[in-house]
Amino acid sequence: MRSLLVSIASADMDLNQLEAFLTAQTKKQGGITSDQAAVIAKFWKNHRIKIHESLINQSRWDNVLKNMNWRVDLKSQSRHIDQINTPVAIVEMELGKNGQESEFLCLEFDEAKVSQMLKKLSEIEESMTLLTQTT
Amino acid sequence: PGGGRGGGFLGPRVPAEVEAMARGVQDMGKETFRRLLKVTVNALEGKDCKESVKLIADSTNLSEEQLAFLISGMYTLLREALRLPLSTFKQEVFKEDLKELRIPEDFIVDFSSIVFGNRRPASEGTALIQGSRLPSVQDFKWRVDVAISTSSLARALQPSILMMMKLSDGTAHRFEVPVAKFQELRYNVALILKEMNDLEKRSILKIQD
Repeated sequence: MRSLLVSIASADMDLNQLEAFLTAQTKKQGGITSDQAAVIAKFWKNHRIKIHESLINQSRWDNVLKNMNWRVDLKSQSRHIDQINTPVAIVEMELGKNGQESEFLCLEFDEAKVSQMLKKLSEIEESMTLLTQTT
Repeated sequence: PGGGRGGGFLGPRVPAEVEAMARGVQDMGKETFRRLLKVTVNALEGKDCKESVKLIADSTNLSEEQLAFLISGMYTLLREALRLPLSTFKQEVFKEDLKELRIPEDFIVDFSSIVFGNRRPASEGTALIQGSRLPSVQDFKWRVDVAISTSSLARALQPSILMMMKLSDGTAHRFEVPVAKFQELRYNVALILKEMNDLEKRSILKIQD
């Protein structure tokens, strides 16, 4: 049973592939019964996304962006007059590996930096769209 | 009687590294002192000083440990002095305080020229010293990877984004961003920008009132 699930998960089978695979297994000598096949099919349908996600995570070794919080401040008083009334964004990013304590990165952005960052993120978005279109 | 200085610019209790530094410079050559001071000022301005510290370590007989407390003592001393506004912080008071620490006269003149003279670190540097700023992103690099196959997945075909941020405090951070998180990140950054734009519009209105 375990090896069946490993095969299904490893190939990330869609429903057609699953059906063909399970049918073959029921016909094999010493294979599974059609009831068992139905249970496996139902299980896979319900948990496919979660299992896939978790398997992908098994091959992630870098720090991962887990969460972010932000706040926008308006400086009301400062030693330097020119800084007054300019908004500042404070962004906290939680970076961590699975099962390890996270590291919190606290950054400050002025408007130009935020806009710059958004531009870069749009570039990334574009490159990913391109990727999904061609494949 | 111990202490009794009360109210020097370093506060009621002189930081340990400053005291250690004051002892360490007693019989130091002027040239070495000036090199250390230069490194410290560079550090205050947020520059990377690894190389220059190494050069000093190689060319003097100071141990790594001695260098560490000398530089951190100078750093604390200057940081504390530079955060005080020049309008109320008087040079004589500063010099008097250093004298009490038994820092040699020659070196007091050098310290003083940094805090009060034309060697005062550039404003960007002082902003760092003031500690009123969090690091900002200086360089941002990215890469989109598609995992084709992994030890647990024969067919992964999952894009993920690798980001690398260099910060103004000299540190660099590399991390992966799953696609779902990436969308969240982009949405939030767009929201921050909108919020900032709105705020600025509002404050312009206020001025016009």
